[in-house]
Amino acid sequence: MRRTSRRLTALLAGLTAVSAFAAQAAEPTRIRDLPRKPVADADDPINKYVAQQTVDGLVLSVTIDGPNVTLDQAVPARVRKTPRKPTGKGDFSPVTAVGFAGGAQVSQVAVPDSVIRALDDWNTPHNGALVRVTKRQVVLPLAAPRALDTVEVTAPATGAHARIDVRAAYAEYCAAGQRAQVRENPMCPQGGAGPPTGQQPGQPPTAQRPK
Amino acid sequence: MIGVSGLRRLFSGLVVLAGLSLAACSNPSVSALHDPLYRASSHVSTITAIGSDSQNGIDSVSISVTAGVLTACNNFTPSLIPCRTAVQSFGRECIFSHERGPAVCRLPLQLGDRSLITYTAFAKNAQGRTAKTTPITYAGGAPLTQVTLNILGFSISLPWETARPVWWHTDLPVGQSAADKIDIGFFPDADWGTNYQGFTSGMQIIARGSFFDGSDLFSNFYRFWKNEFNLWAGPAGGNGEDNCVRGLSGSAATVSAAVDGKAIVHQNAFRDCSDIALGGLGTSQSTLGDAAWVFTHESGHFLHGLGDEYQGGGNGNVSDPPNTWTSKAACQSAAPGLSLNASQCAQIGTTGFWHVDDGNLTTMRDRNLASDWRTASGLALGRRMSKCTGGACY
Repeated sequence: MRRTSRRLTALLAGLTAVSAFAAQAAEPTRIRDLPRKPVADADDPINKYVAQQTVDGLVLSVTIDGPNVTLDQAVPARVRKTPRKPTGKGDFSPVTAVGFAGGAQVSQVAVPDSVIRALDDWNTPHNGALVRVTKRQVVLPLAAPRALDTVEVTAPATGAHARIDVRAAYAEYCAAGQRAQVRENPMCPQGGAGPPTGQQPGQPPTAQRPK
Repeated sequence: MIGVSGLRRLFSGLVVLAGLSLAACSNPSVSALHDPLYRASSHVSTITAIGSDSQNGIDSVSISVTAGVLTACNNFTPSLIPCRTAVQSFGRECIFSHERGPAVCRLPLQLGDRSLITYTAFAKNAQGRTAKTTPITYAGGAPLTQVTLNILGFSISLPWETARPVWWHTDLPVGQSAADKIDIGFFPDADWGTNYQGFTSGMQIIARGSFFDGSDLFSNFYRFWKNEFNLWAGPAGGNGEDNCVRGLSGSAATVSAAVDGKAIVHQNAFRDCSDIALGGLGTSQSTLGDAAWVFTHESGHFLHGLGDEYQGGGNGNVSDPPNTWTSKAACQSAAPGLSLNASQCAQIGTTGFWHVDDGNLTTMRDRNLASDWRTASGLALGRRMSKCTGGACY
C-alpha cells in the first residue's frame, strides 16, 4: 500500500515536472522573414469582405419618448447587407423603420427596442432593479441603394409612430452633384412622401452628418 | 477458442496499436493573438503564435500578414466597416526542431496611423501536418477622421469615423458568404474625457479577461467560443450615468449601427445598466478588480436577453429559452422541456420571479469568478452559438 502510494507520488511529481516544462515556451532555432509583396486593392480579402457584406444605406439615430419620435441624426453610410431579424412581444417588440423614395418603399429594418433594462449595482449589493423606460435612443441602419426622402418609424412598445423627412441627410451629395452638373444623382432625393409627422410644425429636418 | 487471458492480451494489443496510430496521426494545433488588442496611436504591436504537438513535435510556426492603410471604402456612401489600401503581404517563419513543448513565434510590427492588419498563423509538425488559425484583422494608430468620396464625377469630403476592429474574423471562403458573428462594440464613456488610451487599456482588461486569458470558470464559455465574436472599438461619444441614463451621440451613434452589442466602458463608479435585449446597449466599469466578470454578466443582458437571477436586479428576460419565470408553475412547466429538473425551480428571493437553481454558482446571480452559465442561462447561450454556427446569430 505504502509502496503504491510512493509510486503514485513519484508519478505525479514527474507529471508535474513535465507539464511545467511543457508550459515553458520554446524559442525558434531560426527565424526567416518573408519579403513584402504588394497586393492590389481589388485582391485584398478585406475589401472583398466589406463589398460582400455591406450595401449603401442610411443610419438613423432617433429618440423615442413615449409615442413621440425625434430624429437626432441621419447619416448616409454602408450598412449590413443582411439585416438582423429581431423578434419579441409587448415591451420587447422591435422598432421598425421603413425607407421610402418618391413614395415607393425601398427598404425596411427592425432593431431591438431598449425599453426594459437591468440595473446592477456592483458597489452596493441588491441595489439594482428591473427598469422600464419610455425615453430611449434607437439606431436604425436602413439599406438605401438610392437616396431616401422619408422614413417611417414604429415602436409598438410605447405606441410610437412617425414619418420623418430625411432629405437633409443628403444635402452635401445634392450640392456637390449640382456643382458638377450631374443629371441623375441617385444620392439626391428626387421628391418627398408628404409632410413628416415626427417633428414639431415649423421645425426643419434635423438630419446631419456625424459630429 | 480464445480464453479470457487471450482476450485481455488482444484488447491490450489493440489499445497499444490505437495509441500508436493516434500518436502517428496526431495533428498540430496553433493559436495566435496580437497585443495590445487596440491602441489609437502609433505603437509596436506584437503578434504571437503558439504551435503545439506534444506527440510529434513542431517543426515550424509561421505568421502571414496582410497590412495596409484603413479607408472608408469608395462607394456612394462611406463605410462604417473599414476597407484597406496600399496593401502589402509579408510574414515570418520560425523554425523548430521537433519541438514538443509550446513553440512560440513572435512578429513585432510598428503600426503607424490608420493601420489595418490581418494575420493568419500556421503550425507544421514533424510529419508535415499543418494547422492554421482563422484570419484576424485589427486596427492600430490614429483613426480615420475624414473621407473624400469620388462618385459620379464629383467629390465630397466629410468628417468620418469607422468602427475600429479589435478582433475581427475576416475569413471569406471562396464562393461562400462570410460566417456570421456576434459583433460587440466598446465605446468610451464621457468619464474618460480626452484619455482615449485609458479607455483602450480598460477595454483590453475586459476583452482579454472575458475572451482570451485565464482559466476562471466564468470565462470558459466565451474563451471556448471566441471565434463566434467580433470585437470593435468605437469613437468617443458614449455617456453613461446612474439610474439607466446612457446613450451614444455623434459618430459613436452612427458607428454603433455596425454592431449587435454596445458596451459603454466607464472608469468611475455608477450602477451599470444594460438593455435586456438580443443585441442592445450596456455599461461596464473597467476599473473594478473583476471587470471582465462584470462585463460578462452585463453581456448576458444585452447580448442574450437574460434576466438577473438575484434579488435586487432586473429579473425579466427575452432570452431563448427564458431564464426566469413569473410563477413557480411556469418554471415547473418549462423545465422538463429544457431537460432541467422541475424540482429545482426556486423563487429568486421574494421577487415573484422563479428560476432553475442547480445549486452551483451562476453568472447571472453570483459575482464570483468561479460562476458559470448554469441551467436555462447556459441553454440560452448554447442556442445562440448554434444560431451563429448555423448562419445567423440573431
